[in-house]
Amino acid sequence: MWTFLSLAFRGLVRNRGRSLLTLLAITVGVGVVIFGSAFGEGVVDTMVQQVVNARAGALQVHRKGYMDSMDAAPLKLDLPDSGAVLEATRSTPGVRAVTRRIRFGGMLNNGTRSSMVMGAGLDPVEEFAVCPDRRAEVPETGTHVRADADHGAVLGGELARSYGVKPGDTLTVTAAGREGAVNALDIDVVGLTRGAAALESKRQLMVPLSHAQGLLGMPGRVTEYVVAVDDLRQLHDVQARLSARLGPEYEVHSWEQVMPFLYGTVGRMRMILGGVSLVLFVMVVFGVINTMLMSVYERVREIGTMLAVGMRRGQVLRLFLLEAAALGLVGGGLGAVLGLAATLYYSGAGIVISPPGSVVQQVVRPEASPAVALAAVAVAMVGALLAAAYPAARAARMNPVDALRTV
Amino acid sequence: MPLIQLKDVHKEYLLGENVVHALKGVDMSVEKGEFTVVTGPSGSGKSTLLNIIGCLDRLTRGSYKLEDQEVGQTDFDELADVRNHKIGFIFQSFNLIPVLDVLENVEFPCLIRSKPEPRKVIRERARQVAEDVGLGSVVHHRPDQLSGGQRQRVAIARALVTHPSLVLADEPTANLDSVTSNQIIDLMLKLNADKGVTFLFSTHDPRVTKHARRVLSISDGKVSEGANDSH
Repeated sequence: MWTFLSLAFRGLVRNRGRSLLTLLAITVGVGVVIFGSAFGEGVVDTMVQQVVNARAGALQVHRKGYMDSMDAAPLKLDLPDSGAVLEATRSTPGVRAVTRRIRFGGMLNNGTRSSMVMGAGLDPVEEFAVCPDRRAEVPETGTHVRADADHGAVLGGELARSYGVKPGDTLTVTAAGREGAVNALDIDVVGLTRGAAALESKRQLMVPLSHAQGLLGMPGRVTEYVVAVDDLRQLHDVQARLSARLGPEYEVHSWEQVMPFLYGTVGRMRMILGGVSLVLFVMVVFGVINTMLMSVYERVREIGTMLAVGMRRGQVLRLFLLEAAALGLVGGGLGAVLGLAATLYYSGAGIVISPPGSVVQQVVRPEASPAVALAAVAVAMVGALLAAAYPAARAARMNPVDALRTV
Repeated sequence: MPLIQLKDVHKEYLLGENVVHALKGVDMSVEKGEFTVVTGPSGSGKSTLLNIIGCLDRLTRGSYKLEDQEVGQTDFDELADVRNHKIGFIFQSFNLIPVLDVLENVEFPCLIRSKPEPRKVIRERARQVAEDVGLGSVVHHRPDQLSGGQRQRVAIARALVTHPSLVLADEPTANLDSVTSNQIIDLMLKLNADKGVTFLFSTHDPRVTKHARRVLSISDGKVSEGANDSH
């Protein structure tokens, strides 16, 4: 074996330039796949955290049927804002915190114009316990919904600009209550959101929970409990536990079910990353094929000599496969070191990105995964072996007489 | 028992759409310890004959026995073993492996065996053979650091290191100057005389033919016993 390893190594060193270029292609390919995958997982994690910690929570509890008719904001499918169901939710193992919300549709008026809004009544103390990143929604010029400001409302930035209002101004919100009666209440603008998403920025209205209950004629009622969990990795266990505990009258949805578009985006993102990895893999494979074919063509006479002095076809095959495996192993190893080093550096330093549809910049921290690095090296080796299979078989099939005759 | 024995050996191959009859019923034998030359004009079938005797190619029909073993229709890997154990090759263009030094080139046929001897034994024998052919001072040189004569000596050492029954030399002096050619011929004659190595040459070189103890002529795919006027 040592003879073949030594020969394979010397075969690679013989044309240093070409071998180095191939090695570089493998190194860069593997490095990019490892870093790209780590970056992609970092982006996914940031997106998920953004959703879980700033909007949807990890789980949401509704009255059965609520989600299916959510577009109509079905206030009749409501929940008590205190009592056994809420306590059962809070005391379920794995649940960290619970907040109550009312979601409603309404019209915002300033006396001359009106426009549709998507309203939410929330308890600021509970809300920040479940969605701590909500605090960052409102810039320094205003405040978020406050417990001590009954009429204090937060508007989407675009919505506020379209009305020309700023913190301190007053508007009127009109909405149909649970029983269908239309009611109107004044609100004092206390803050404007930065608008993570364009639609939210144009339609969002947040008021204290008690104010929303008054507007909608729903004292003591809410439309959803939003749940934070201790460990997001245990999300589905907690979901199952909570669902079993609350019974068939209630439905428990995970953030993926509440925001299917975002969940789809995460899936598409992983697919794109997979696609990029595949393209890189194919490029690397073709690079190795080219190198090995050139190597075989340059060494036809030498292969003829080896066959003449008694080398078997299988040994010739092994020799060229060893060369390719060495390229894959060394290139893959270097690529893994490079990819992991870049990942570790940026997981500390962070990468600032602006997600599509958002005006808020986010810091992505790539997540190093030794399993991905190992898999990438293994794939590089297997790819190099696959790429070398044809050139190596070609070398092994040579007729020694023809090979020796080659000039 | 002759070392090699060919009976009614035919070799046909396709050249485009035409069937070429390179050998047309060759009968010949070579005894152990002979120093034989095969001569003939270009295209007469010399190389084809040597390829078949060297087990590099298979005959179309007939019989070829090497040390009484029929090898004419043996499969490729078995032929590889026969070549490795029983035949040494000396090529016109030396055909050394450029990335290996002299010793490594010499020991190469021993290292690729399915059950090689211990490395130390192989190395010692390769060193001894290299010294025997006058390469003692350049054993760690690469082929590109050697003269043409030295390279051919490496090829001779590589051919001898396995203690083959037969050494085939295809135009071994064609790429060498006259002084070096004479040295190489002398070396092979010495090996033949001292160690009983059987040599079979294919050559146009009258200097080689002059020293041959037996000359075979090949013409139009048939072999005949030729006369060597110098003896």
